[in-house]
Amino acid sequence: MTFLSDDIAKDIPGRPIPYVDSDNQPFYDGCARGELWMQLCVDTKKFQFYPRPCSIYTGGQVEWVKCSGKGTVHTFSVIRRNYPEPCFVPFTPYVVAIIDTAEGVRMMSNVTGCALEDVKIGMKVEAYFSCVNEAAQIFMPFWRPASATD
Amino acid sequence: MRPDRTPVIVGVGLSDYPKAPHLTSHGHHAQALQRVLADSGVRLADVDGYMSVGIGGMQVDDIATMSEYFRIKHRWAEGSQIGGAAYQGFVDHAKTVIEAGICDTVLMTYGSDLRSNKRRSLGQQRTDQFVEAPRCYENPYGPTILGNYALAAQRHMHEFGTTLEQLAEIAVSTRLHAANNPFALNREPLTIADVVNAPRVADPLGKWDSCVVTDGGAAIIMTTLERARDLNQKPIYVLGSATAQSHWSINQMPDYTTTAAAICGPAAFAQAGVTPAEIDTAQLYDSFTITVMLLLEGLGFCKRGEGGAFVEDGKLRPGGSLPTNTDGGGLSSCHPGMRGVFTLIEAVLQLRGQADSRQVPDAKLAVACGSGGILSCISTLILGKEQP
Repeated sequence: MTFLSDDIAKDIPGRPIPYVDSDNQPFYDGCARGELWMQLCVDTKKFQFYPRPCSIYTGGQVEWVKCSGKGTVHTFSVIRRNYPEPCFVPFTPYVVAIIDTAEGVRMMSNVTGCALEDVKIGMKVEAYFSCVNEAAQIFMPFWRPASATD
Repeated sequence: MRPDRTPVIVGVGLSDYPKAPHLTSHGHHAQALQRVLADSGVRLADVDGYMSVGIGGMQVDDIATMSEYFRIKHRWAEGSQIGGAAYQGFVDHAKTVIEAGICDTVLMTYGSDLRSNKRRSLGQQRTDQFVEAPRCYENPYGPTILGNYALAAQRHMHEFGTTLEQLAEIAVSTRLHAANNPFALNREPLTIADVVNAPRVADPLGKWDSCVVTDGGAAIIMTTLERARDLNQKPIYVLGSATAQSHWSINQMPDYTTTAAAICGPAAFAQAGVTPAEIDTAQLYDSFTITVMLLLEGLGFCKRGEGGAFVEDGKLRPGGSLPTNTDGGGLSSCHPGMRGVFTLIEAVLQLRGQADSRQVPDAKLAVACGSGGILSCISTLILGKEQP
């Protein structure tokens, strides 16, 4: 059994860090508060991710909404070798997954906090937020198995 | 009578591959240019349209830099960066431009010293830097190129029961073709057991599901049928062409088992007035085994989800009913960054009957399909040796 530690969610020397701009600041500000914020199209009431200042459905207005942080694993890969980014090599094997959020949009992330062998398509997961760069105080969402009470 | 402006492919050229430490990326463009001029009989002075794009970027191998490099006095130029679909897209567009009389003779060149030049690599560069949107939604999680394709493979296996052995058949059939190409990088025998037992790199995919990294360059010339009558080669017709995009970043892929080939494939076939069953040989972008399976499904060679069963009888192999990637493909022969143009050239050589020991007997119709990004931008060409 290989346990997927949350070390990959920590401040890793050399990790590419999100550049926070005016389009995505509400998303990353939410992460810092431990909340998942995404955009809702005002006209269609459909969510979108990643953040854009206009709706991908109509080109119209969007508003920021606090989301549930619940999701399921849509698909995943176990990264065992990582050539281009040496900073991640000490954390192999790790899981890169596409998460279906409860709000109906997808995002890429890592799944941690369980055995590698337990990661399956359809697995219920919940978001947690971790500081990936202490100096810049950047937080990102990561996902772990949903708690038993859900 | 007005001159016949039917657009045709009249020249192809390949630079030295798979290992060419004596050539820079620009040197690959230049050598391919010399070879396409010799192949076609076109004079450089007659080129009035130019299309080129590379992985070097602005001020290195963009369209304006390469136009300067060859001193091309173009009346029309294009350098759309849609990755591995770019050169199929170029032919798709050049067809219209030539027909419309905007220019008469279009040159396309590509070159990369990806294998020999250790300064460059595909994909995310090592960095301690901030990454801007939209890369910031992926790179900080440590994805890899193979891992991104593995997301599609994993989903395909989950939804349709596709097996690693079925994916492996694509690597094996391609290797069998490579054995017929003296220039191919990897020609030694490969078995399904070799492929499935190789160490996983990004589950569910392993080493032999992945393309090779090589040097290489290529050039193509298109002109009117009228001009082609005075040139060296029998012209090849572009019977159908279409391009479509579903996403660019893998996290934005709308459906992980359906590519935009499902849009541009049927459009290109309809334009050509032929069906997949009539195709004699397929040249499909094979960055990874799953790429070929998804393109076969999208183009309509089989139904969505049936790619595994479609390939497992060996029909993609030499002598099969759909010999595919007959030069050994990106999986075994040549993949210098953007492979699209090489699928196109192999299709032309097959239709001319000039594919030497790998010739598909009496090939009259070929499909050349490019896939750019991560299964993102797809461009499909239906090529024929006879005038429609």
